[in-house]
Amino acid sequence: MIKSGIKNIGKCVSLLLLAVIMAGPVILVLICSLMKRDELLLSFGAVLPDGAGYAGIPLLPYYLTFENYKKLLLQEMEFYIMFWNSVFQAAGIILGQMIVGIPAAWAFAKWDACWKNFLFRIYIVWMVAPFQVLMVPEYLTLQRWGLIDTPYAIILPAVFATLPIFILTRFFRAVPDEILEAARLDGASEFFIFTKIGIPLGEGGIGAVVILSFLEYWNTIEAPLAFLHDRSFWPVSLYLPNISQQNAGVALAASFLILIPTTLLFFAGHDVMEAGIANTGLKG
Amino acid sequence: MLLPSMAGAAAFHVIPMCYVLKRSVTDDSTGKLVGLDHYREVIDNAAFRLAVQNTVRFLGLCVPLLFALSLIGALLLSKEKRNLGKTVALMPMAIPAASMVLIWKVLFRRYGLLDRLFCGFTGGIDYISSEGAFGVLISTYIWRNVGYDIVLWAAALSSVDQSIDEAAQIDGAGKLQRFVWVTLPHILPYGSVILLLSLLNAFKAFREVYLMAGEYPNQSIYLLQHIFNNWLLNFRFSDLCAGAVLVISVVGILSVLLHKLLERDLC
Repeated sequence: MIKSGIKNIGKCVSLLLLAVIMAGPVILVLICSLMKRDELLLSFGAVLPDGAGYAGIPLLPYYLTFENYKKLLLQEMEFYIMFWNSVFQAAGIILGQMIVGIPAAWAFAKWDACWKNFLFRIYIVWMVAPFQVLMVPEYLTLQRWGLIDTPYAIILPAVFATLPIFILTRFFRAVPDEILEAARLDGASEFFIFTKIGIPLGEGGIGAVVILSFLEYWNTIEAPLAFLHDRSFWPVSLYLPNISQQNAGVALAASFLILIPTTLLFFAGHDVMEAGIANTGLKG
Repeated sequence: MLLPSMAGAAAFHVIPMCYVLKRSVTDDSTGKLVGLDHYREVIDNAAFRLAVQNTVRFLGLCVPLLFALSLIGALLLSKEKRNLGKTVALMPMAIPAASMVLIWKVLFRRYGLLDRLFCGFTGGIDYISSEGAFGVLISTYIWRNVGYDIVLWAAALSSVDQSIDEAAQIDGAGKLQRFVWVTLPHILPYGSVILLLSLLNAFKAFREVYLMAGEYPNQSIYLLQHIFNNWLLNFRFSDLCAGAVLVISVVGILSVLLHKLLERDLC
């Protein structure tokens, strides 16, 4: 009894420690963003230009204040624009990925063609290659089409990303061929099989891809830096005003607001996402 | 059904890639063939060498480390009934790099929290603009990706046939023996897909580096991505093209090898 009790406590403590390491930074952002300026400077003014002393660990603010949020939301128009840019770009990318990726993944999973494997292998190289390498050919095409400095420079190349296809293919492979055979015998068209059997059975994969893509493109940094010289279309992931003693609080409030959409989505869909990741690694 | 995807691939990757290849062997202004001159230039470039060295060091260290750590994590968490642990470990994936930059500064800058903790031994280090940056880069990568890999390993673990494990137990095999001879041979084939996805995520660690340290960070974390960005900003297209061809060949060989392993083991 006592032994298992100790074991349980040990488990709880290690889980708590894990939670602090994994989620701690978020809580720190929230706490600091609710602080008054002088208190904020007291606890970590040290790391800002011309601060003094060492940074401290703020556990709870003495005075809760929404002053930082008020300032951000009432005075910083730029923040709204960038937030909206992010929403628009991420939505466009995900929609496009679905339209392009679902049929492609279905074909990879269910068609028999010898060139298919070769193509899939190339897709995997694109999937792994770092953005900075693919950016060179992408830049050339975007330039030719005159899309540099428009939001489509971010959306279009991402629509053809191959990671969603890789994940979806693994889900579609799990759809048993017997069902498709039976449907064919009953006279169902290929289009009917794909839309009425394939897509519903691959729902889990589609959900996982939507979530993973959103987390990925809400966090995009490389593409806008390379393709958008004009800052008016920059996404909120690049919202980093120069942090000084004056605006540290506002920057922290912005940091917290930026992570709200992804965190909410995560809590709503972490089981779908988890199942999606798990399936990527399973036999297919 | 593959058509839309292939059209996009052709427009954004295949056709311009041919142009990139051509550009990498011709002179910028005259358009004459110069053979492998650009490649020689790129390989002789000190910054490129530094970037390659750092990237290889980073990948060589962080990918195996993540591989092992996440396996241990998955083993520890696999006994839990509820998978709260896994969910918690996945959380960093949902935290945008932009939100974390300030906190990273508080943690790792000079006079920051880590500095305060260790100042007795080291006496004031800025972990972001010193050699320590490499450590920050690795820990950030592990922090962000450990949950993803734990979930992958846990899926592999859950597919182990329990009856074989029980049979071994009845035959008197100990915990360690059972792990080495029953569990490990079963889950190792899943390793190739985990390596592939870890590699892909390793290239994304650049985001944090960029936001923390900007275009010219400490030498120890000057990665390939930095040099490509800087080439693009300075319009050095021939270097960019030659470099891209080199890197994509290496990445291509690596990922095709991994995918071959994966197909042999899992399909």
